[in-house]
Amino acid sequence: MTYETVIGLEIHAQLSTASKIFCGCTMDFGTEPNSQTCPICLGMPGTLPVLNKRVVEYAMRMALATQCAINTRSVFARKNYFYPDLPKGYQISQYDRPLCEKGFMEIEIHGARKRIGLTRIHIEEDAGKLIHDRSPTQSHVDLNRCGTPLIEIVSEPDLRSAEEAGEYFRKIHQILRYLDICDGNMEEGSLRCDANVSIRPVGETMLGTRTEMKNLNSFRNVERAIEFEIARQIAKKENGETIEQETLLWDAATGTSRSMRDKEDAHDYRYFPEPDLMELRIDDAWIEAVRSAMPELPDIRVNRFVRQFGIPEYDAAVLTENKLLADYYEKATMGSVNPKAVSNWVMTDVMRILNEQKILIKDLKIRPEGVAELVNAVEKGLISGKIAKTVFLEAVETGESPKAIIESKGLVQISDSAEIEKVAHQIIDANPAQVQQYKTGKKNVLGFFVGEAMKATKGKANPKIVNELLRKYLDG
Amino acid sequence: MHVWNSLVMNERDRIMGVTRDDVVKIAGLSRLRLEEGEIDTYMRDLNAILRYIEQLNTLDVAAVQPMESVYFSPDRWKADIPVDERRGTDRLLNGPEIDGAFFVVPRVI
Repeated sequence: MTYETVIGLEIHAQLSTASKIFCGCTMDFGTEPNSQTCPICLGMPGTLPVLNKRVVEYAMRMALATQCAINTRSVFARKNYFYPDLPKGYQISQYDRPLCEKGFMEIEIHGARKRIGLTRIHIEEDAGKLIHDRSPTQSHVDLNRCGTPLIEIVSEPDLRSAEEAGEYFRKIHQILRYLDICDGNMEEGSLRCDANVSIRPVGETMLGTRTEMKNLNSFRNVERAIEFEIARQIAKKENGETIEQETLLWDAATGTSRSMRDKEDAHDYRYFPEPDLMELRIDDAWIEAVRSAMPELPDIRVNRFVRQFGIPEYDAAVLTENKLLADYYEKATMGSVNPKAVSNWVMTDVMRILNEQKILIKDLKIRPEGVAELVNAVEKGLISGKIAKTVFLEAVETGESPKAIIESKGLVQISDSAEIEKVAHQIIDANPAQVQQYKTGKKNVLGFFVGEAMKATKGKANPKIVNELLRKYLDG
Repeated sequence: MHVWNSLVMNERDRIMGVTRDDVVKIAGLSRLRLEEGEIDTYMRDLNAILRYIEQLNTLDVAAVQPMESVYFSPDRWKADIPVDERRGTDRLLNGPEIDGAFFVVPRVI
């Protein structure tokens, strides 16, 4: 039997505000345990939460970027569960009245666009961290993460393959980064993903029993875990077994999952409205204020790059993959005479250096103005493409501007025919054997002469003129 | 699943009452250890509470807006500015047990 896969993702994104959602604590990663806590986020009796306004604005940005409706009235709710990572005994979240609902975004799969529905985006607080490997009988508790603002983005079950799920997750990551509301760092847990997976025979409209996969903290792991789970469910079905509704924990090291049976009952969260917080009211003026401050989103930027700079759509998609790279390209292009040449430099040389040195574009020593200088120098015939590569590497190394490097090293290309003529004659005179070969029909010896001429001029001779002159003398 | 909902909301017209099994399950969810003799006591008390709540269900509230909060005061915000107050090692003193900068609890997995 052939099966269809049905997947929905729940994505938690930590918002990059300066302080926590309900108190003034900071949230720097990797600091001393419990050093970023206060009576409020420690859940001390008698404290009251006060909502951080920027959290609401950041959530609204995501809502607007994904075409969600923003509810003018939403309500915080207590999600009750007992676990030491949550000192209050409940998480403040939203339940039946979330901030945003009914949005969508588009992904591209094998050249075709597909619309993925968003059920809701709501605001909540993160829990603390437990460490189990410091003692065989005890768990250690670090509450620094408690009260970190999160948005949970819940998709409709519109995804049909691991690949689609991976692409959707990438797109959400990209948008969060563009909106500058989440640093997207999955290794530090700033962006986390759970997947609801079920299968059904092709043609069936009822949903099959779903399992929830947790701990999918990279794009690759989302795809691997879902592929693993699809195969597991199909094997069970084919064996006549029933698929149980359960929560599974993905183990990236072994590439397998295991059941979290202790969590099954925990879904009885006994939600009720949070009495310590006002209902959240949002008027049109506020929504419009957030809308007017929205940055340009990736899909729109791709189209503009194609239109404004005349570069291929492929280039535009690569360059806009992250906002800082797109900003870099745009700045370089503004100062250059050839946007496509700038695109080639950024997509190959700049991106190669970023990968090789594992650095962020903001730390790259050659700035966009430098790339523009380099492209312009080649375009004007000042230096050859080959010299440009060495100038680029030197600029990456030293941080000097390409213009200064070209001048100080005297790399300006020799396009003066008289000077090249002199070199050409010297080389012809010094290599009579090769001249003889050329004259007897071995025309590819020309390459040898060109190479010698370039060597003699330390690569500075204009190769086009060298070719022309050498051919003229050898044929003449 | 949803013990309260099913008793209070969905089956409000034919309330079945809390059983011994419900008490054990709720205690488990709440991480409470019950002695055998306490189960009947809690079952009686919880049923008394539900019978009391049941009286509210006789009211017609179809035209009443749900009240999520007892007060409404707009613009209760905090600005997104870090405040470094009341920090220090004393925050650990409330922990049942500490180890260095960590709170320590009985192992949970």
